[in-house]
Amino acid sequence: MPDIQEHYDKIYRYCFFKLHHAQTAEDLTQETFLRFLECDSYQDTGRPLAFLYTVARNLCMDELRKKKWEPLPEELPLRQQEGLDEAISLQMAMEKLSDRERELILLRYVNEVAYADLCGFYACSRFALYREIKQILKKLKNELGEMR
Amino acid sequence: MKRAIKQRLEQYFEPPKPSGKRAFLRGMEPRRVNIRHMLIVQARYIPKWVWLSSVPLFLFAWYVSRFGQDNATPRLMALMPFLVMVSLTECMRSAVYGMEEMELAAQFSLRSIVLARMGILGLANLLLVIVISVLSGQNIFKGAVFLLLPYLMTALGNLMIVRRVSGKEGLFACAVFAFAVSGADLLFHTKINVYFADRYLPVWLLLILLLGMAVVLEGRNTIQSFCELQS
Repeated sequence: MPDIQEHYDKIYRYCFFKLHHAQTAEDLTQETFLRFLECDSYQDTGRPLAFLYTVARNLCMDELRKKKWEPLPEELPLRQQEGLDEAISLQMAMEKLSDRERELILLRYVNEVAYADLCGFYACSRFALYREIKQILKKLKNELGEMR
Repeated sequence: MKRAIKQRLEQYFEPPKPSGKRAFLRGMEPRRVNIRHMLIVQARYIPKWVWLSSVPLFLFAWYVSRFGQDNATPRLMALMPFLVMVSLTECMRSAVYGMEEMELAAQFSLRSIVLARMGILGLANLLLVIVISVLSGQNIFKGAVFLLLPYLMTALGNLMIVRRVSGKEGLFACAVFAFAVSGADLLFHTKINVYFADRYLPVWLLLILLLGMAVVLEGRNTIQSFCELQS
């Protein structure tokens, strides 16, 4: 059973990343926890995070399907006051990555989801995931290097 | 990954502050209730007439002790089944009125509620048995054994009835059984000194132990059958 308080912000961040709409992201975050708590088909394998993120992803996909790709009402905020140049260059570098690559970066390095949970979430082997993340990081470094 | 880049990534993915987080988390917090609080809450739900039903028994025992009535024991024994009937039907009220599903949706589990009510009323009845045994003016141990006999017999019979017959019919059947036990006590009151002679006391004691065990087993089965909806 994951600590709801601990994971609320992470799931919310993930939903916001997928939807770019704060209110909908929050609604889906709460829906994710409610679905998780009332779901009786989940077998406790000691990896509830993978399941939690899967519920969140499915809810976001449903929401996106319903919206039929309307223009995104909210952009990811650029809050950096000091070091604005770095923030802008990172944003530009991130925009060159695919959605999946950005999602992986978010989950692994911002939400700090363990590899074991990510393997469950993406249904792939630990080795394949590790290699993919390594390639994304290399790509990101190259993009950032080119900008300097 | 370098700490600086990680910080920049966190800032890049930073969403606006969630507005409903606190309210949601507050709603998710389970209310922890200790046993003492639960017992107090359940005791409040027991209607006054259930408590008052033990008053006639107490008054009768007091009358016997004050005016030294002969053959008071079988009369006291004859009143015990009604005490059980009132207590047990109160414990099983949700089953008698077909409200198990409603109770299952309540704050406490139905199992805890039934156990708490059984505990409260059982303890109250036991205290009453001890008080009556003292007031009846005979050996407390012997008095308690005699009073417990119809008590446990009725408890066992009523538990079996409540588990098998639901609704008002169950309540009626419990009343009939209590009257039958009470009637049997009065019927044999002339032979009471023969049957309850000191030499037979170990036999009655053994019978009470067996009845007690049967009541516990039947009570467990009854509670399990109530909570089948929950599992």
